[in-house]
Amino acid sequence: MGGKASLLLVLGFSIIFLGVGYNFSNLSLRAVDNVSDYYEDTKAHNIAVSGANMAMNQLFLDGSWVSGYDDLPFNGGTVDVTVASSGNEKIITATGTYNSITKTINVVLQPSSFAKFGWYIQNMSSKVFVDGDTVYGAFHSQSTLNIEGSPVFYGKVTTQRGFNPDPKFWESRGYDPKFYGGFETGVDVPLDNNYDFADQKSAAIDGVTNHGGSSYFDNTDVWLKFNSDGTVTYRTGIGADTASYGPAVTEALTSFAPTGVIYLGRGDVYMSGVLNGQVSVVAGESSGLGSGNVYLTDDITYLNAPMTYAGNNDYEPTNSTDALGIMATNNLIIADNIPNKTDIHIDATVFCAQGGVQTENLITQADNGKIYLRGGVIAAKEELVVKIDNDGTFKGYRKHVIFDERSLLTYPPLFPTTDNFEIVSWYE
Amino acid sequence: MGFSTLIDIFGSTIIGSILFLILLRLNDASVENTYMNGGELIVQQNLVEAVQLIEYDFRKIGYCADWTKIPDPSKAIISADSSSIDFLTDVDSDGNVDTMHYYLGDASELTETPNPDDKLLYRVINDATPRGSNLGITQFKMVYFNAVGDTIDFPISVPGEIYTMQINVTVASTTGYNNEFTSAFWRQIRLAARNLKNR
Repeated sequence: MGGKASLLLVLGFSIIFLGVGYNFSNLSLRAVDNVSDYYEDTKAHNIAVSGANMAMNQLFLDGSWVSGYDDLPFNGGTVDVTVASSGNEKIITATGTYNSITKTINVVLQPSSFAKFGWYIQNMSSKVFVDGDTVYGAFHSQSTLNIEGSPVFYGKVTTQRGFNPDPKFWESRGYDPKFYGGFETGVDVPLDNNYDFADQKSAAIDGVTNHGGSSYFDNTDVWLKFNSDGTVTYRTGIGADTASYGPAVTEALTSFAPTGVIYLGRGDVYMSGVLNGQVSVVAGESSGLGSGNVYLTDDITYLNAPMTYAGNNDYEPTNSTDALGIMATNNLIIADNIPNKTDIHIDATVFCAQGGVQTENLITQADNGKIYLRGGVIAAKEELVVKIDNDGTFKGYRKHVIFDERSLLTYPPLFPTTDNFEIVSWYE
Repeated sequence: MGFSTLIDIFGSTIIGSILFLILLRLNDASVENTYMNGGELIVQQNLVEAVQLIEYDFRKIGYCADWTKIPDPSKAIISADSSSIDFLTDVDSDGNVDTMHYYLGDASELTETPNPDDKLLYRVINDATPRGSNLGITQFKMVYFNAVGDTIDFPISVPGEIYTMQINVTVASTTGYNNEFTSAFWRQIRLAARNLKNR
C-alpha cells in the first residue's frame, strides 16, 4: 500500500514538474524566437542595404552599369540587385534574403547638375572660411575646405580632400564650424578646365538654323539687356564702350533664343536687365583672358523673385519660373561703372569653367556695398571681389549669396552636368 | 498495535502536510515564475514591435515616392526634442508628403495600470487625432548628433543640423507580480535616415 502511494506521489509530482517545465521552456523558446526574428529581419535589411550600396558604387564607376547581382552570397544570406532606367533616372532595387526573410531597398538616382551647388570651388587656394561667413545651399570644394573660425554652412558640404585643418584640431583651436546640411569628404566632382560648351553652342546654332532664332554670335562682343516684358535688346560691336556698336534690336526672348541658349564664341558679353523667362547666356571659345567673359553692367534680376525670406535664416522658394544661367569660359566680371557703385543684384546660376566671379579694376574701387546674389556660383577659381588695404580701406563688395533652391529641381537651359549620378530617393 | 497505529497516522499526517506545503509553495512559485516569465516575454515582444515600427518610420524621414516634393531632404526634420520629433515622410508611399509626429505622453494618462511609469507613445500622422496603444513604454529618449559626431544640445534651433540620432526605448510590464515590473531596454546607437543627406 505504502509502495503504491509513493509511486503515485512520485508520478504525480513528475507530471506537475513536466507541465511546469514545458510551460517555462515554451516561454523561453518564444522569447528566443522573438529576438532571433528581429535579428533575422535586421540582417536581411542590412544585406539589402549593402547590395544597394554595392550597386551604387558600380554605377558611380560606370554610369552604364546595368548587370546587377543575381543570388550573390553575402554575409550568410543572398542579395539580388536590378538596375532599371526611367527617363534620366536610374532605379536600383536591392533585395536581401536571410533565412527566408526578405527585405527590399529602392534607390532612385538622377544625373547630377552643377546647378545644385550654391557654391562650388575647384581650387580653394588660400581662401579661408572664417567667423561670420554663411553659405546657403550645397557647397563643394574639389580641393580642401579651409576653416579658420566658425563659419556656417546651411547646405550639405562635400570636399574631395577633406578639411584644413583636420576636424580633430578644431576644438583645440576654438573652431566651431556649423554644417547644418552635414558634410562628406572624398567626394570627387571634377570641373573640366577645358569645358567647351559644345552642347550649348549646338543648341544656339540649332535655334538659329532650324527655329528662326538669332542668338548665336561669333568673333564679336554682345551687349544684352533683358526687358521685363519678356523681350531682349541686343547690340553687337567691340569693347565696353557701346558708342560704336550696331543698332539695338529688341526681340521676344522666345524667338531670339528659341532653344533657350544665347551663345557667343570668341568675345565678351555685357549684360543687365530684368529677365522674364528662362535663358542661358554663354561666352565660350576664349583665346586668353580677353574673351570668354561675361560683364555685368548693372543689376540682372528676375521679374518674379525666386525666393522669399521665411525668417530664422531660412528662404522659401517661390513659384517663379524665371531662370538665368551665366556660363563663361573665363570670368563673370562686375563692370567698373556708375550703376555698380552702389550694390549689385544678381539673380542667376553662374558657371565659370576657368575663372570665377571678380570685380573689374578692384584696386581703384571704393566700398561699393554688397553683391546680392540669388542663385549659385560654380567656379574653377575663387577670384577677388574685395580687397582690404593695410590701412583698413575696403574696396569692392561684400558677398550676400543665397542659394536658389529651385535649382534642386529645375535648371537654366543646358546647364552643365557633373557626369555623375546623385541619389534623390532612398526607400527602405 | 494501537500505539503503532497512532504513530503511523501522526507520521503520515506530518509527511502529508509537508508534501501539501511543498505543493502549495510549488504552485505559488510556479504562478510567480509563469507570471514573471510570461510578462518578460510580452515585454520583449512589445519592445520588438515598437522598435520595428520606429525603425521603419525613422528610416523614411525625408522620403517621398515623388522625390520632387522633398527636393531638399535636409529640411525634413521639422522639430526635435529629447522625447519628441516631427518630420516629413510619405507614410503610404503615395507620393504625397505627410507629417509624422512621435512623442511620449504623460504617465498620468495611464493611471489605470498598476505600473506608475508606463506612458503612451504617440505616432500622429498629419492632423489625425493622437492615439496610442499601451505597450508599456516607460522611456522614449532621443539624442541627436551633428555631422562631426558631437551631441546637439537642446533646444535644437536648426533641425537640419541633425545627422544621426540615438534612440533609447524602455518597455516595462504594465502589471507586475507583487508590484515587481519586468523591463527591457533597446538602444539604436546611431540611426542615419538615408534621405536626410541625399543631396
